[in-house]
Amino acid sequence: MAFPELPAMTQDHPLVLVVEDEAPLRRYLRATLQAFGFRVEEAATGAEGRNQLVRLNPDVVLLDLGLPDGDGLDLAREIRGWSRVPILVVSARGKEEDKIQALDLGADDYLTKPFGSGELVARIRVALRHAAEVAGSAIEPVLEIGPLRMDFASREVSLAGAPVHLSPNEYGLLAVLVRHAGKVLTHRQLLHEVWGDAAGAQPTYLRVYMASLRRKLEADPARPRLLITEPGVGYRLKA
Amino acid sequence: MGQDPRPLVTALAAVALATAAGLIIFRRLDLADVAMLYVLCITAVATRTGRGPALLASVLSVAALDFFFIPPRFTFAVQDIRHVGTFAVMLGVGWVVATLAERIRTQTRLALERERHTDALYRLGATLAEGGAAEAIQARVEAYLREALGVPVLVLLPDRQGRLAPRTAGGRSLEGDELGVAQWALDRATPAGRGTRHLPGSRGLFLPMVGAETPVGVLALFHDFTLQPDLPSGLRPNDLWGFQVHGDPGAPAPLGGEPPERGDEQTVPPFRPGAAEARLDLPLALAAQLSLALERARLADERAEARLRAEQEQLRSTLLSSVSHDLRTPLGTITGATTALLDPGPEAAPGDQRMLLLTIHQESCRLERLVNNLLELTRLESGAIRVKKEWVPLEEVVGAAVGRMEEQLEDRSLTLRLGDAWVPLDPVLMEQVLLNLLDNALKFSPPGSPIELEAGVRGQQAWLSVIDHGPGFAAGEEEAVFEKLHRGARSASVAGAGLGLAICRGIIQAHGGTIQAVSRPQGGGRIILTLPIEGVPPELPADGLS
Repeated sequence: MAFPELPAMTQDHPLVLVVEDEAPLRRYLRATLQAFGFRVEEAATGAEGRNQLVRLNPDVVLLDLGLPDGDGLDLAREIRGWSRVPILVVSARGKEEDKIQALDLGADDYLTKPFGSGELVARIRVALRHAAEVAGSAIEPVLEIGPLRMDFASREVSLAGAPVHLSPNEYGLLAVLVRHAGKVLTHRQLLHEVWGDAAGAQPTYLRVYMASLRRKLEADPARPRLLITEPGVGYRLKA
Repeated sequence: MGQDPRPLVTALAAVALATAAGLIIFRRLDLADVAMLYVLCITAVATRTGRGPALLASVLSVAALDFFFIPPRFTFAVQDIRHVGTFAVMLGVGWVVATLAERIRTQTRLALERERHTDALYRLGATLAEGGAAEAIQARVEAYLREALGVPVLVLLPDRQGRLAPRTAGGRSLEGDELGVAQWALDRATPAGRGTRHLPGSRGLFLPMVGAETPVGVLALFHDFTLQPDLPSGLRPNDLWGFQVHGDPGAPAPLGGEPPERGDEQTVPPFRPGAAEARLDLPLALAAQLSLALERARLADERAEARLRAEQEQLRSTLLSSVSHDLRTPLGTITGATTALLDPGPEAAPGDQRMLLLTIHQESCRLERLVNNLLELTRLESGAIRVKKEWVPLEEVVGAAVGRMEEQLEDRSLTLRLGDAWVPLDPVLMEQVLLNLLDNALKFSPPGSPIELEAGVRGQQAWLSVIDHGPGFAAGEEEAVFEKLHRGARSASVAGAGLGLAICRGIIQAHGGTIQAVSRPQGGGRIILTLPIEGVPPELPADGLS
């Protein structure tokens, strides 16, 4: 599918479109984001959001799933039909199903209300970085995340300089997580990326290889710093 | 009758045997002895088969005696006129013995039937004595009656509006027109359906069960007792509840069947005891007994419901007062702090602002936790939460929860001792449990004191415990801490509406597990939960070169 060119991003002041029906929350988001150097536009309904999106061509969309005029999920699906703009979904706690659905539809990440400003800004930056990477199609041959170094050309992984030996499945899983560092990946997305559409692949596989990856990469596998579990949703490599 | 030729063959064979034996003994014994042999043969036939074969045996015996033994032998002619008297006696004995044997057999059969019925009623009573809600009785009784009567049986219970709903059980379903007939029987408290005067075209027989005041249900039987060809004689057409029974109007067998306890004098002809109703009075008596039990169950249900409503009302008001306290306190703090921020006094110190903001942040987090717990508990109690078990390593589920608590755990040392085990559980709900347990341990232990979390597997159970170094639980409080809104002596100074542990218990019970609070002898509280491990973890693919 051909996507229109992404806008030439104003590197210093990316434009965030906030689609959120609660005025106080919009106000908080505007204040926070502006304080961190973002430009902010607001929409209070899905319809308004759709219009703004076409008109303004924002760099990132912050989308509340609980909109008064219809489902935020529908809007996410619709946007993905013609745009690659990063979508960050905002939802209430305990709505794991919605989060998974939004992520599988192509949303880039989610935030659970209430969220702090630090988390918000970090997530937006991750989303913007991924969008830039995809636009540039520049897949780095070597990626470093904290102490972890991954060389995709030689398929070598090292932790704080020491080489780590991984099985093919472990390597495959870690590679996907590293490429999407900072972003949550659903069980389905991970299974699809690592095993293709092999019949019978299930979250248990992920848990097994995740456990062995943690044993090789984490100081204390029960208190992971790198390979984070999002219960009921998926996993995230902490960037 | 007489489709079955076996009794007649038996009669023939018996007479042939008696004749053969007679021919053997005749050389040495008297003619009278041979006659006695025939009487014995008739008696035997009468007791083993029916009256018809017995009478046939009598006639054949007389003929055989005449032919083989009475001179002139091997003709039917009779020389001595006295032998005619012998024939008459033999025929008479045959008649009397056959009649008596038939009666004994009928009585035995009825007695057996009655015993079976008594036993059936007794066992129904035992089934009903287990008590329970009407629905539980319904299923139990259906299963029992299906076995006892040997025909498909449905117990239909009306809803509050008195309507019957379609029902399927034991491979038989009732809907459409048949359901209409059942409804008719219920509404008029009159038996209807097959074999009755009312709506006889339907496939089922519907016996209304009437309690003290209102109909409580319908017993639906799919068969027809009335069309069985070997119905004992004694029932006249339309004798019984309007059932069309065709039988021999003679020879009543009054065995004193009690009329059923329920009846509607206007619409139902008087009950007359007879042999046939032995078959019919079983379902009728069962229906009567059942109606009492069902009515009892319904009344008990209504009482329980009323009690539950009252309890819920009570709980709601307790919850409201407790929650409104817990909501107001942080809200008051937040409001106060914000006004201080908006309008700082002239003497305000530079550090005050940050301190006030921190207070607002902490109180907001507290409010959020409270609201989340309230929502969680409501969802648990309304049954909106379904446990979706997946095989998860203990390490992962604990890791996720601890990761979420890092901020609060900052000034604590948390020791984790985890076995390498996989457990079937709902990861989202279990995270909730662990967050609450850790939060609880933090709340009820002094700042800076250590917290321990241990987990492992013992047999078919996974266990997990969270240990704090606070004051522990007051004696006798170990059970009550899991009650909703319980606030122990130790919680007086701690915020929280006493929902966390109630949520934990709800979730753990939904998993089929247990949760317990204990005070450790060396001090501190410990909450131990267990989860059942059922089934085997899914197979894993070989991690070869892919």
